[in-house]
Amino acid sequence: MSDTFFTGAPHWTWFIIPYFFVGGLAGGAYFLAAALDWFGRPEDRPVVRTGYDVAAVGAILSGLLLTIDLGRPLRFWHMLFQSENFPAIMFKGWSPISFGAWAILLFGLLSVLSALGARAEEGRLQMPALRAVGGVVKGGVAKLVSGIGGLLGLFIAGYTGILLSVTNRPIWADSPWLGALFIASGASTGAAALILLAPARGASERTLAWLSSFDARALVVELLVLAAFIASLGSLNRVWVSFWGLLLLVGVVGFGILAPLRMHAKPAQAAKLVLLGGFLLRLATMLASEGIDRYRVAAGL
Amino acid sequence: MPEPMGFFTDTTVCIGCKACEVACKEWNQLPAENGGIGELSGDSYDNTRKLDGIHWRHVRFIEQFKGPYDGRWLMMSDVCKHCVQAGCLEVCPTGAIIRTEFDTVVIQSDVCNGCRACIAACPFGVIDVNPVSGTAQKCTLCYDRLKVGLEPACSKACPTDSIQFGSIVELRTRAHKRVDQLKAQGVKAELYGADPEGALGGLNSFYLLVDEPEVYGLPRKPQLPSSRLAKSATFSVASAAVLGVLALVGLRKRRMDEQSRGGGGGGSSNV
Amino acid sequence: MTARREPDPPGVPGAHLKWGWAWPANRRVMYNRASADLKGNPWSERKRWVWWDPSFVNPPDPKTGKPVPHGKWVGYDVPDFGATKAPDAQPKPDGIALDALSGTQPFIMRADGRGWLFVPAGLVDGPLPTHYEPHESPIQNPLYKQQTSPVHKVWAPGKPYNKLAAVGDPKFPYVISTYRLTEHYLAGAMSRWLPWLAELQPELFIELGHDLAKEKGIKNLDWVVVSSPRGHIRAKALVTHRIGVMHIAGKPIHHVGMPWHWGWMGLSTGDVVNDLTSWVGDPNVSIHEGKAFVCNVEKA
Repeated sequence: MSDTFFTGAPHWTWFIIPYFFVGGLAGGAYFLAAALDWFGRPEDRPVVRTGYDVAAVGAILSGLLLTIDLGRPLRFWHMLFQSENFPAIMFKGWSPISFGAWAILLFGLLSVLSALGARAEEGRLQMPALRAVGGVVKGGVAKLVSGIGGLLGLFIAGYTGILLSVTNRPIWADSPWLGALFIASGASTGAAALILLAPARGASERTLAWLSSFDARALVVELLVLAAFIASLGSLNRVWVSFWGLLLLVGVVGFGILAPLRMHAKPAQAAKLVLLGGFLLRLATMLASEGIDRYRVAAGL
Repeated sequence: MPEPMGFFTDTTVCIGCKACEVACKEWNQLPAENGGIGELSGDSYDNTRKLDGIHWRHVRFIEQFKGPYDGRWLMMSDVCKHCVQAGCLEVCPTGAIIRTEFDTVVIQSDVCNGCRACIAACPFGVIDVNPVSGTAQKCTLCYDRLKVGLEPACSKACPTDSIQFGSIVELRTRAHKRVDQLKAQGVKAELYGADPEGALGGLNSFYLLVDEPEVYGLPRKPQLPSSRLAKSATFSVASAAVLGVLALVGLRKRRMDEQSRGGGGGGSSNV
Repeated sequence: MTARREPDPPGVPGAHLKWGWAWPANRRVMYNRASADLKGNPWSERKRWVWWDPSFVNPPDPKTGKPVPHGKWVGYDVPDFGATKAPDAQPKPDGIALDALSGTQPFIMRADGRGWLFVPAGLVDGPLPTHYEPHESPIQNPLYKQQTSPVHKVWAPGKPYNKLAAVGDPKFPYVISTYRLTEHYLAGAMSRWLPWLAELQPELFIELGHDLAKEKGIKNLDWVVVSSPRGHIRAKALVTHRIGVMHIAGKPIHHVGMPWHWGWMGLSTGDVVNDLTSWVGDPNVSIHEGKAFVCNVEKA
């Protein structure tokens, strides 16, 4: 029996599971938007702007979800500054939850700046303060912001998986593949979100086509990494002989990866399934581990 | 100058009286679960089941019987191990978890924001949230008592001196003598966590056990969470790189395809 | 003196007189004159402890200055006897206290200096202990025709609230004992209100062996009905190997047990186990037979 079975569950559930999904999606969306911003063409702009909006909303939502989940939400800032020595910085480079807090803050800042810049570009900002900020984010500044933010987006998508591994919990700490898996899922769900939302913003067929093909590739990567993840668990895979295993097989692999890969003609439907699969992936991997607790193991439960 | 202090728990003389559990609750004024109204667990005489935010000491009862009256009943008072290399301290993002001058590990209740990373990080499953405070709480090795020269409440209450408190160096000497004495009597006694070269640099609350650690609900080779960081990060970076390449290659291919077709609008999508 | 820790050397017989202090005179074995025979020699070499040295030269009596005859009790321990009282010493005719005892009467705190195997008065039974079955028992007394103590107390005999089972009554085939837990106190009226104690043992239970559990289809934590001739109660089952079947008089007899701390008030409540016990008591001190009576156990 793995040593990880003798630990206690952290109860990262109803707010954290949606956060993992939203954060991954937002990170993936920003990465794609930044890629199009840097290497795309003018017809890609609508998707770029949609991507920034999704990232910004996702980042703000992530911050809210994480804060509400805390046992003492008003103390969220204790993860950024030393509460007894304010304004000394609180940062541990070896602790994902510590560097993740700063990463989310930065990601939120950058994605909001990019979103404001995009709206300023469209001339859609009313408030003078916002227009002033948005006006700065153009040209080289905008590229710098989105360049850093794009890489940060992938980081945001993946660090949550690393966070789960840097624990002693069953399944999470038993495999080094969760970060890689969440990045792939973030990329595919990010692309899916853009496929669904960008047409309303005037996205061109060609950009959407590129998104769909990228999504397909990301799904293949996701499937391969999922296989590596399962393989790395070895005998621990008996945990999947359960409802969570069923969810993983049918929901994530079946509906979330294989089905969309075959639905070339219906990209919007495929995108919805990808989103469902991405959410179910977080749900299954989080709750399968949450249910394993040392006193239940000791009691033979 | 204060030196490393901690517990040596000789489980062979534990009588399962739970005075340690009650003394800890009384000193720290911890609430009973559900106001004291509970259900029988069915797990021998153990209705506490696990260490959590309102149980900082937990007595385990392990019945090892081959048949009626044929076997033994092991008892052990479980507690935070106050690891020399502590996983909880490692991951805590608020700096709430600190190491004291007594080499013990303490969660500062006014700094903790209840993120629960320490709960996931502890290799022994010791920590949980105290529902009253909303923060993570665990045994403090009675830091407040140590500061005024008292011994912890549990070791003071223990009627058989199963829980012994003192300087780690002295406790280790005592423990090795006890192991030798028991082995000479034919008892399969081993120390768990008394080796400073061993797992986590040694535990400042170490045990004398008469069976495998798993029997007592203890991990055989506890590790620090950070031991997994390098591999996990490497695979993530690789995954990110692959996706990044896929995206950029895809864009480049699209541009080259359109250039080879002489630009222009329309046309079916490729790539 | 009590902190002295000087043992006798290993391999040398001794009483370790320099290890601590045994009040009042550092004597380690009471009545140790009895370790020597009527002549003052040890009963056996193996048990040599205190003996009479007839040639010992005694100093004169410090109080009167008169010479004291030769002879002294010597040995490994401090003698629990007149130091110079010879084995053949006779009691003084008008002597009081120790002077009224001879040289062969070692039990110096008894009026006659003799050890007593039993008291001649004050107990309603005796003189020597023996085995009787409890009033309720699944078997005949294997030692005597007399099944139970002929002088044990039975309150309210024949009354409906103290029905007692006949020997080997098949309706109540199991032996039940009642006992205590560390976490509660007596009938639990105080301890069951304390949250820290109530959560440690929250409910009444009956401990039964795996064999009986299997026989009656009872699983761990199932509700069971425990009945005796006096009534019945409900409790949760705690199935364990720490109690179980015993083979007595050629029959498998199941033994079950219940802690008796519960009642209907408090944070932790449960049925009253004393509703089951028999109103039968010890002949001398009236303690009731709460640890040995009969019952039946069925899945609820």
